[in-house]
Amino acid sequence: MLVRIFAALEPDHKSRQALYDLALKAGIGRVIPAYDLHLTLSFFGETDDAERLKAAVRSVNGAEIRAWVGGRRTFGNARALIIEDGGAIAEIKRKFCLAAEFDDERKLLPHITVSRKDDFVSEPEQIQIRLCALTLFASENINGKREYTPLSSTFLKPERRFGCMLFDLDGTLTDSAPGIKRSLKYALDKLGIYGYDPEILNKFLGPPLVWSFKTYMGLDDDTAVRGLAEYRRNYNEMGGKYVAEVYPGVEKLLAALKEKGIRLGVATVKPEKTACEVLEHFGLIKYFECVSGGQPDERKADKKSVIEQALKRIGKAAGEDVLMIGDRVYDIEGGISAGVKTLGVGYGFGGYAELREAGADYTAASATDILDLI
Amino acid sequence: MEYKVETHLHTALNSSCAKVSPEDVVRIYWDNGYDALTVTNHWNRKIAWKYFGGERREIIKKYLGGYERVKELADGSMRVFFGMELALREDYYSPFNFGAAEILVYGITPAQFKEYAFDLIEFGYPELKEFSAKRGWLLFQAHPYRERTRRIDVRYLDGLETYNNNPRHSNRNFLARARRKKYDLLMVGGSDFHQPEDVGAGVMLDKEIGNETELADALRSRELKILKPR
Repeated sequence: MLVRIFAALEPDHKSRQALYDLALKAGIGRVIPAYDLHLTLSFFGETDDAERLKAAVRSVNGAEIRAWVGGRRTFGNARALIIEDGGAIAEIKRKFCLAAEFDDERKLLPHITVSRKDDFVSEPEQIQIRLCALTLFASENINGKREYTPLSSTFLKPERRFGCMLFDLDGTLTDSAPGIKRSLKYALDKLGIYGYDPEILNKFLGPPLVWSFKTYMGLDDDTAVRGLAEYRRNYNEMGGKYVAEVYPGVEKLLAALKEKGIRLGVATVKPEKTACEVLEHFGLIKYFECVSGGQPDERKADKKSVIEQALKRIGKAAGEDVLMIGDRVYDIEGGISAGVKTLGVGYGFGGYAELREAGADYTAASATDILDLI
Repeated sequence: MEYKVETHLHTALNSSCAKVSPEDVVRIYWDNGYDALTVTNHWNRKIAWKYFGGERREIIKKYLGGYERVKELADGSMRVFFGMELALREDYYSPFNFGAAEILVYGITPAQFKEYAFDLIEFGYPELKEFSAKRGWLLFQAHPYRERTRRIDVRYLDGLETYNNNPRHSNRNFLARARRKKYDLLMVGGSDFHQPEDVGAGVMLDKEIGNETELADALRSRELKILKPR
């Protein structure tokens, strides 16, 4: 029987299932079973040297890899998803080849084959996946079906834990869009602005409001500041701030993080007083050591400074063990410039493409997914 | 004589799925007339690194805690053997895994577990089989036809769990029986005890056994009856 050997990186369960679903969504009918999905590093064909390769697999040390689906490609009859990362995949391959004394001349183009039968109909979504193990596989054809048998495997270590997590408020902890839009509409009415596309209000979710008024509505400085005042009046005094919902799983997540002794804070460009009131209203304030927000004069409130302010209040230095969690490009960019790791939540106002472009280190599809990181 | 042995049992504090404390486990099994229990708590990467976490030595200590406590509480009233429900690599049961595979290991002793625990979860199936054969352990795929489970190549197994009593899953034991027969494998049956109502299954032997090795020998001899609750 023809047995061929290859080394591959394996996605974890959630990633496998996500890749499988992704391929289905992109129009492939017969997707390779989720548990067989892998990213091939080196192919050895038929070899008698399995023992040495097994030992080489075991000797590799490394941290698990976060990578992105970056498109699709066809190799012969194989339809594959292109996987992009910052070079960690190539590094694992290098370590493995070194240990195996194997000189792999083939250029590595990281991809995961999802079908050998059907073709893509549409572009796959760009999701993030986690590669958690390096495994030596044997592949053989049994009754016309390709079977993969893992011969040996090494677990890539989970990344280090976070000692401190900072959360954005709107779009991350609470879905405040309805309240914000209601108050925006009120402010624009007061300024006498009508006839705009209601969709444009979605763009106001996240960035500082004066900037948004100027950018999206073409207002001059004075009118923008007036718009802000009207917005605040409606939002703060007329109940707009309470027209919101806590995202599912958030409370459970915060309780679990707190129990694990992780220090929690809120870093939002929303005025601090409002942020506190909202958190109190929804019973979330008890989880946080500090709430760092914008000061009443909006100009100061950029994301980087509220993050720095939050860290100062908690008494923690910026670094690799601090995580900023948010839903928009501003949260990610702010986090990066403040020197902390960043996580983007896909359920918020921004979406995956925006988060990826901004350079988020991690993404999560739901609040409970964030727990996987610790 | 009849010697009633539980072969598939989980205790609380070893995985989030098992709900019964060692104290209650001993009481429930005593009430149900068992002579011996095999504690087969889950062992896999997720249990080790996520559920327990920390230093390797600490993880092993915590893992063995459930077994040791049951043994201590049984205090000779029933024999308590060590065993394991092992999942290799990423094959542990989870809502996201549509190709899970779990292996019941018999014959392994707590001392051997301490020595090889972290090797076991990194093995591939051929490697595990070879390693086990050298040490006289037996490998049975647990509930091979449960939902979201894939069948491991029989070359890497000694037997199948042909009766699994867990009422919260669709175990399709009849298919497991047919597969065992087709490949002429060894068989075992167990309660897969996680909650009080699960108790009742196991194997009935015709002689007393005293340790893990004798349990493996008894299973290998095929002289047993699979016990099913009425």
